[in-house]
Amino acid sequence: MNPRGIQRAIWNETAIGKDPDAVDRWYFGHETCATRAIASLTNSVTVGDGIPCTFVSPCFVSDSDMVSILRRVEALGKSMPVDEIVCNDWGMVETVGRNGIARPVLGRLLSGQITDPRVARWPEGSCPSGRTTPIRLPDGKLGVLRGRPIPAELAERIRSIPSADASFLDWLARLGVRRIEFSNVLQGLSLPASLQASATLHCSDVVVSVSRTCRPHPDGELRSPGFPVPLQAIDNVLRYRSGILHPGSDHPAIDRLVFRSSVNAPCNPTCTNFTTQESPLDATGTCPEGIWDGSHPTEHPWQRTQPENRKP
Amino acid sequence: MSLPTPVRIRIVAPLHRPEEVPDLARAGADEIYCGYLPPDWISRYGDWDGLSRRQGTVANLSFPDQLRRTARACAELGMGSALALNVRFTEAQIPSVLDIALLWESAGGTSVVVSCPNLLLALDRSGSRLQRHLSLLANCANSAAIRLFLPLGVSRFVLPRELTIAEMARIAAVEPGLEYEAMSYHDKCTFVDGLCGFYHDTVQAVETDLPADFDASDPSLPCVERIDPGYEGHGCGIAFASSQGAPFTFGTRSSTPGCAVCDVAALADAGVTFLKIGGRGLPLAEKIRAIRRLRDAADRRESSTAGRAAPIPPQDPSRKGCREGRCYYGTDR
Repeated sequence: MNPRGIQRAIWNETAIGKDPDAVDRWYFGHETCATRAIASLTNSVTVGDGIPCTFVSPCFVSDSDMVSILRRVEALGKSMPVDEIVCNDWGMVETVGRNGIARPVLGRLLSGQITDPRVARWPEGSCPSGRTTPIRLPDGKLGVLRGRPIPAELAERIRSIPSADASFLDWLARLGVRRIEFSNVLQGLSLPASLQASATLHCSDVVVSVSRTCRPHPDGELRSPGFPVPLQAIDNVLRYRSGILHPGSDHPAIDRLVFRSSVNAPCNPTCTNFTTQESPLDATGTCPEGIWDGSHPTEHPWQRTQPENRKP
Repeated sequence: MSLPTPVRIRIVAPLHRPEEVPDLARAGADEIYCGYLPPDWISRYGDWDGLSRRQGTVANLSFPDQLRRTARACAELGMGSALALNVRFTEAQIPSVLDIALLWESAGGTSVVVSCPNLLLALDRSGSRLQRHLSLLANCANSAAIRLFLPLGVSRFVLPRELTIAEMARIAAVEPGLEYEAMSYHDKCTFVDGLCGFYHDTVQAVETDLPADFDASDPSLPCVERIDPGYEGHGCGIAFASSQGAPFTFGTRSSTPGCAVCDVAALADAGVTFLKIGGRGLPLAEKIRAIRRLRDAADRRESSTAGRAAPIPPQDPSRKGCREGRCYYGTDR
């Protein structure tokens, strides 16, 4: 933990700590696949020194998977200090809150954040308002298409987060949820001055979209002129990497930063659930980009201009 | 042996003009739903899908008078009428969205389609008597999620289109006595709607067939201003350039709509008796075609003495036009 009291957490699908001194908390689990989340509960190894652990539960959970997850978390709790469950499914929020085996946390996939990176172009200065494009109008005449600066309320909206609503947080607190999670989105964050919950920021990547099934897709990056950053399709997730911390991430309520050690762990080859068809991974199942290389600087990452979570 | 109790299957049809109500009813729709995107909202937040999941003025009503005429026409025909306010809203937006919901209620609308807990809480505080339908955007995929939203006044659950019918049946069996609705025509997508961060905006086709003397800087040319003039399309439809060089698109560019006609009986057996048609902005003729196809399948199910309709064979004329990947709940999903 640094002098400002910011916790540093590392998220590995199966929590294995090479350097336990460098982290304050381990995250493990899977946010978009129940099969892999359950597998991570089976395969995770004990991390030493009593470092607290957070299990990340998936976004699409059947009733039977929910039972399976909770039983395994409870069993794992005997050997690992699993004291939090990140809930990316509303049913998990209800069940974990009522069950009491660990503290429920509202996951980033339930935050309501706008994660399409294209909105980062909207605010004044980034919108090509001076550019004109010829178009054919409905009446058949030629005209031009032009950008315009976005209204102030919209500029605020794209950075604001529905789950920061005070009445919503009050409702969540009655369910036992006192921590909410966000992604480090390209357009930055705008949070109320006095957020009535603790907040976690996922620094390494932003989930743009999720399909229930893994579908064939190309390896590597997907680019399009309208997108300010390339997208990556991995298993059933479409995401972009978020290299640096964006404006608003220094909000005092954000007291935990999560970095992913790997996002390319291999799919379980025996999986018969929806989420296994083709894995885009290399033969070793390792992360080609190395989102986090295992090292940790001592200074606060917000002081950096270069991301700490990239390999040199 | 007594026969199973007949189940009334209801068709929920999309609407974008009040004048469509009688035609939709005649085709067999039992309820309608619509969106609303008034000029005041557009001036503050733009016309992307920030108020419901459909963008622009083509797919949405624009004025209070249209809300009133729609609600009145539905009431005269005994149809339910729902207003989709089904995205998530920030604290700053809630008062305006609540005003719209209450305007709809005062116009005679019967329900709202919502995914935002903040809005459900605000509706509760306001004392609104609107029925609340939980949108599929809430991604309510298990019975625990049903139990979470019931205390917020939700009476109908629109289940995610990615669930199997067996999964829907399990939910309905655990939480019986509620209304369950499922997407049954149009709007099938690769991505889980409730987990999709791509926004929907209006694509403006660029004109390439220009006269030689065309001058884009001519100030007399009519001008359309947009917040995102470079919008290329919905994320599921964009042809991305991949690292391997070949263009890649997530969605399928098929003219065949997403369809669950063959599964109407199975859905009803599962307890899902409200069948939703997507495509608010589609031409009326296309909406009527979808209603008639679902109505025909529903009538077969309802009139079946065995309590369930026989499977539709592959050679049946009603399956003409079936395409792989377009079936909502079948084996090719």
